[in-house]
This record gives sequence, C-alpha cells and structure tokens, in this order.
Amino acid sequence: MKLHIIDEKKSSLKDTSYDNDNGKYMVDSQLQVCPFDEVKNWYVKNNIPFANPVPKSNDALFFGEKESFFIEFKNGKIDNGVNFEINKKIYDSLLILFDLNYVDADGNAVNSISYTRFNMNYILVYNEEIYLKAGPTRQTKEGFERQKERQVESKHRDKLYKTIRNLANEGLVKFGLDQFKNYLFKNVYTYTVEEFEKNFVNK
Amino acid sequence: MQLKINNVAKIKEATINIDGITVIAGENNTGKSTIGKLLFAIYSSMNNMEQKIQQERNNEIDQILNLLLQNYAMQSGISQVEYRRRYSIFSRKFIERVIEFIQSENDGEVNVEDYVKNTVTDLEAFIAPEDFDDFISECTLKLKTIINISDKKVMTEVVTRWFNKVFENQISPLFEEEMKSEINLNIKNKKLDLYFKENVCTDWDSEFNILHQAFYIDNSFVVDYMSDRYIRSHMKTTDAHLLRHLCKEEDILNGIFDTVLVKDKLDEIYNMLGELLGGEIIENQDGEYCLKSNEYSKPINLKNLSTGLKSFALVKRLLENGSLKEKDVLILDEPEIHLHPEWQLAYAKLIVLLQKEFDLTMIITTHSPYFLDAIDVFSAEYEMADRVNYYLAENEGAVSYLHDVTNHIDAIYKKLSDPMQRLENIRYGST
Repeated sequence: MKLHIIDEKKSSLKDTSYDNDNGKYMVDSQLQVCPFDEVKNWYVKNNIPFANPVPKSNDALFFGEKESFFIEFKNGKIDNGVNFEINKKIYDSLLILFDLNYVDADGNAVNSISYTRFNMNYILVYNEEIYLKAGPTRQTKEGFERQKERQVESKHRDKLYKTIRNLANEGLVKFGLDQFKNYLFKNVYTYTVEEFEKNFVNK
Repeated sequence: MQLKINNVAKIKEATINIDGITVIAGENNTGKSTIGKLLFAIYSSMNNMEQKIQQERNNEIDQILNLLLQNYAMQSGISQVEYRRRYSIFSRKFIERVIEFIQSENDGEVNVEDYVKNTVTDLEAFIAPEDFDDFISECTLKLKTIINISDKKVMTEVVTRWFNKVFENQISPLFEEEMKSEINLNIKNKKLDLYFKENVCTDWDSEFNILHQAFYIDNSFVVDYMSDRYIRSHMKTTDAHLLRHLCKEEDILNGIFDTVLVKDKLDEIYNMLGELLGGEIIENQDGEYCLKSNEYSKPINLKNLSTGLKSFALVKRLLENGSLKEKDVLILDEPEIHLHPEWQLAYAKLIVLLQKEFDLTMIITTHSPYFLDAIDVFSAEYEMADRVNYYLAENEGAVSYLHDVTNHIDAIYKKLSDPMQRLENIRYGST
C-alpha cells in the first residue's frame, strides 16, 4: 500500500531547523518528523502549479502518540514582516493539511480546525540571543509608535513573566500567537531553543 | 478551626479551614476580605463576653439614671456644674448596686422596688424629700426593663452592633438582602453559631468562650495617628481597634515575650525587625512616637518613616507592648501594599515565623505573586507548609464562592499572570 505523503516524507528535526540565511541548524535532534515544506511543495506541484505567490508552510509536522505538533523555527529577528509571515504560514499549512485527507493513528480525519483545536499544538522556536539584540521591533498599533525607537524586548521582563506564568502552569506565549490557542490549536508555545529542547525534544 | 458561612455579604457559601496561615486570593470585588472581617467581628464582639455584657448594662443604667435625675435636679434648682459633680459620685455607687442586684438573680416585681428603695441613699443631693417616692417608682419601672433583658439578649445586641460597624451595615447578602445569613465557627469540635437577618443578629449560640484577640491590619498608616489618638472616633472600626492597641503602654511582662520560654525563638524575629527598622520605637516628651536609631542623631517621627517600614513598625509595636499574644488572630488585608518585592519577602518570612513561634491564626489576602510565593517557600523552609491553606475567591454572577486550591495553587498564579499574557498579546498587536 502506498504511504500517505505525510508518512512518506521524513527527515530529522535537526534538518527542519536549518536556517538558510545563516547556514545554521537551530537544534540537533534526530527525532523523525515530517518536513512540511516538502509536503507543501509536493501539494503545489500536483494541485496548484501556477499559484502565485506560493503558499507558505511551517517547518515540521509531528504526530506523536497523544498529540500532534506543527513546529516553526525562526532563527532571525522576528519583526513585523516576519510576524506576518508566521501567521500566514499557520493558515496556509492548515489549509493544505486539511486538503490531504490524512487520518491519524486513532482513525480520526485530520480535516478541520475542530480536529486541530483539540489534538494539535503549535510551537514557535526562536533564537533568544537575536531576539534580545537591540533594534526596534515595529509594532502594528498606532499606540506603540513611540516604541519604534527603542527596544521593546526585555530579558528580565520575560524572565519575570515566564516565572510567574510557569507557576501558573501556563507558558508565556510571545509574538501575539496566543490568539491561536483554543482556536486553531489546542496549545500554542513560543520557546527559545533551550526551552524547546527541554520541553519538547527531551520529553 | 473551621469557618462555614452561608449568604454573608457577597459570599454565597464557603467552608474554610483556618489553621496556621490561610491565604485568600482572587480578583477585586470577589469577597476576599469578608472572611477576615468576619473573624475579626466574631472575635472582637464575643471575647470577654461577661465584661461586655456588664459594660452594656452599665451604659444603659447610666443613661436611664442620668435622664431621670437631671429632671428632678432641674426642678430643685441645682446648677449643671454642681449636678455633674454630684452625679458622678452618686451614679458609680448606684450602678454598682443595680448590677449586683441583677447578678444575685433576685427576681419578682416587689423585690426590684424594695431593692431600689433600700440601696439608694443620698437622694437628697438631687431631689426634694417629697419627690423620693415618685423617683423610686419611676426608676424601678425603667430598671425593670433592663433587668428583664437576659444576658443572651444583651450579647445579641452587642454582636449586631459590632458586626454592623465592621461591615458598614452590610452583613446580609448583597445579592438577596432578605435571605438569612449563617456563620458557624468550629474549634476543636465545639461550635459557635451566629444567625443574621436584614443586618440584625437574630440568634447565636456558643459552646466555647473566645479568649483571644483579633487584629485586623489593612492600613499601616494607622501608626501616623499614634500621637493623635482623638482621631480614633472618626476611624474605621478595625483601624480604631488597632490604634488603641498600638498606643497601649508597654506591657512586656504580659506580652508574647513572656509566654515564650525559649528566648531563642524570638531572636530571629527580633533580629529581622531590628535590621529592617534599625532601632526602637519610643514615645518622646511631647507624646509623639518615634524611631530611635543609632544611624541618626535625632529620633525619627513615625509619620516620617517610609510607608513600607510602617508595616514592620506596626507589628513590632504590637509585639513589644504585649498586645499581640500567643494564639491570637492576625488578619492582614493585602499586606504587600507599599512594599517592594524585596520587603514583601521579608514580611512574608516574618509572618511565617510569627505563626510558627506563637501559633497565631492568620488570614492573609493578597494580589502579589511575590508575596504568595514567599509564603509558600518560607513555610516550607521552616517546616510548616502543612499549616498553610490557600483559597481562591471567584465570582459567579453576582455571588462569590471560595474554592480550596491548597493542592493546586497554580490556579491563583493563573489569575495573577493572565494580565501579563494580555499585555504580551497587546504588545504584538493582537488584543
């Protein structure tokens, strides 16, 4: 029997974390995942060869024993443009996934956000060092215009927020991605590489 | 002890274990402070019951006598100044005798009049001899109404008044005023029950006497008024009560200092307070309270202490002058206010140590993750984590409930950190 494209495409988590711009891998894990960029390319080639622009996609898809994950690696600065791209990747990836007639290990059709809302999580892995590098992150709201000229990232605010959110057993969701929790995904996580290794790779 | 309440102020129902330290968290307007206020009202109205009943009776008799005598005295042409002088001598003896009469459990209508006739002497100071009989029968009639009121009824009135003062006349459920309120306090399987309807105590029953004091601290600025005691009548009941104890003369022999046999126990607390405050609280020649420290050549008026330090000065004073005793109840409403996180940690440690060494019963409401975590950490450090209970007050429509979250205090942290996630969301443009 022919394997489903999602089961057919395999690569290590390490390979999906490759940063083309800097020629660096973000993580070293050999965990086998589905490189979703490749699935997207296959989908485009076979269904919408003339699509322009080409849909975006998350880096990796992983169906675990209990829950599944879409994982996106961002090694560079997450500014306004990148933030928009992350959002688009989420929508495009889900639309493509739902069109693939995939069935999970329990026999449930992966074809709607009613499924992902209860069974799938989203993880954004970001580079803490670059995140903290000076340089304004443009804000989308007028009220934050004045912040353009100064750094809005704060290591210690993050530390404080994370500590307290952790005490609450609720991680701090950064980059405005909290909006997708309980909507498109069951849970949304934004991890530094270190946190990702601790909370996902080594679990 | 266990406190069970139904339909009090904003709270629909709650069962709370109050042993050691009880931490109550929750958003504003969820009825968090109600528990502390209740315990304060119970303790302050019902401790020294006999003394309170007697005081009430004294006041009543005093009022009746004063009104009556003043009338007769005016008719006899005695001046106001002279009247007051004579009255103060006369009334003391008279009240004393009537109280004696009540306590001797003499009843029967004849007895009262005879008793009044036989015990009242020196009437000629106020009344012309021909009016003696009139006075005695009028006085008897009025006194009878007081004498016939049972101690229990007097106490019911005392309770009503205290509770209304503490709750600003809002004991009855805010969501349905006509509903009956029930308060049950259970200490070592002995019960105290109180019932209210429309802000009036309708009945009470107690299987034990309350011997300890409760202190309610929600305002460290009270120390500012130590030198200006006359302001007390304009203060909240809880503040006025606290101020009275802060101004008490030093009474080290009767205080907590004396009940502790092992001096070491106190050292840690005392050293901590000493380090933070850096001196002793003294009263200067002008009757003002000051902090005398080695750092400064002149004592610092307590009013000029930083607001945070006032919190510590307050506890120190209560300990030093013997107001706070072993097993007393200490209620702290949002103690973190005015304290930097560093001092919140110190204050939490102080609270844990005080509980451990003096077996105080403490009720603390808080909005601070620092304070909450500090209580958690220090209670573990001093091996008394099992003496701390955590509750979360939450609104469900117009009423509020208290949930025991001792085994999952992350529910409290969630409430405290949700606003942080909200800010983070706004920072990235999604609301």
